[in-house]
Amino acid sequence: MSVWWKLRSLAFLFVIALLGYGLVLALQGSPPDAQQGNMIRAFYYHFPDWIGASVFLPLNLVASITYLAIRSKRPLLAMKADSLALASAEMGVVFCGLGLITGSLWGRVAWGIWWTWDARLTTTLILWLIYVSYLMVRRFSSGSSAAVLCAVLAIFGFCDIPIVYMSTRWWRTQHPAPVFGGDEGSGIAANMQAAVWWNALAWVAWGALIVSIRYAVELRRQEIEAAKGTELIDDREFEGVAHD
Amino acid sequence: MTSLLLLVRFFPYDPSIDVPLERIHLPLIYCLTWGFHLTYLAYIAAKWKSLRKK
Repeated sequence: MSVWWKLRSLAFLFVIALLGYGLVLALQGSPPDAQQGNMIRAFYYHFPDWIGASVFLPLNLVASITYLAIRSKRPLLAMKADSLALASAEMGVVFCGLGLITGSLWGRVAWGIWWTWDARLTTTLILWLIYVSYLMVRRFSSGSSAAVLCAVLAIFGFCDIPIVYMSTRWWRTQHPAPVFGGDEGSGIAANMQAAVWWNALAWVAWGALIVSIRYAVELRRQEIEAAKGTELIDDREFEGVAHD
Repeated sequence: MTSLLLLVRFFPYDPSIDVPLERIHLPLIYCLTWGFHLTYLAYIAAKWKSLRKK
């Protein structure tokens, strides 16, 4: 087992402990809300989904731009950037999808509806669909042009993120105004802070760990593919020499 | 069944302030979150396993 995998195993135990602590804080270590009762505890698992999406989808953008910039000059580093782009996109899709599902389950209790086509929910669904299409293009196409296409798609996909963030400020929405950094009076009670931030930290740490594992797996896959390609070229060259 | 009841008890519920629907939706939110993340981890593990065979 390499040093990296040993570190990942240790990190896994640490992250599980963080998540466990966050879970106890969310369900037992915070009070019910005056208006929403115990359903406010949905926030402790809904909010980290969006923090996770806001960390890993921008990471996908950075990795995609890096890939586009260095793919001809430094192919090995570009392969790493491409692997990171895939790993972060998958994690972003998981977080974004979970945010939509948990939001819908919470909305059914808080608003009485599963879904509404307001600006926040619609732009978020579009964001999720863009990144799902990104992953599908990656899955069903091959070659270096596919990687370039995906990197460009990632840049276009990212353009929706500021629209999602600003949607509750630009339009009237069913979704509430921003809890953090919103108007005067926004924010959360002091006795909820620990549950919110520990869970956000724990899920982002989980995401980072999973992205690092997925990155290693994808990089290995690409290295095997590249080695196979080189073997094929060598075989063809050898056959060419033999014919001459 | 007993473990399911224990799971439900782990999620706070007060009939005087909470609506009945909450009894299902709150545990569902937590279980789905863990379920999706662990399924994704299992998918990565399966990928890794198939790569090792290659």
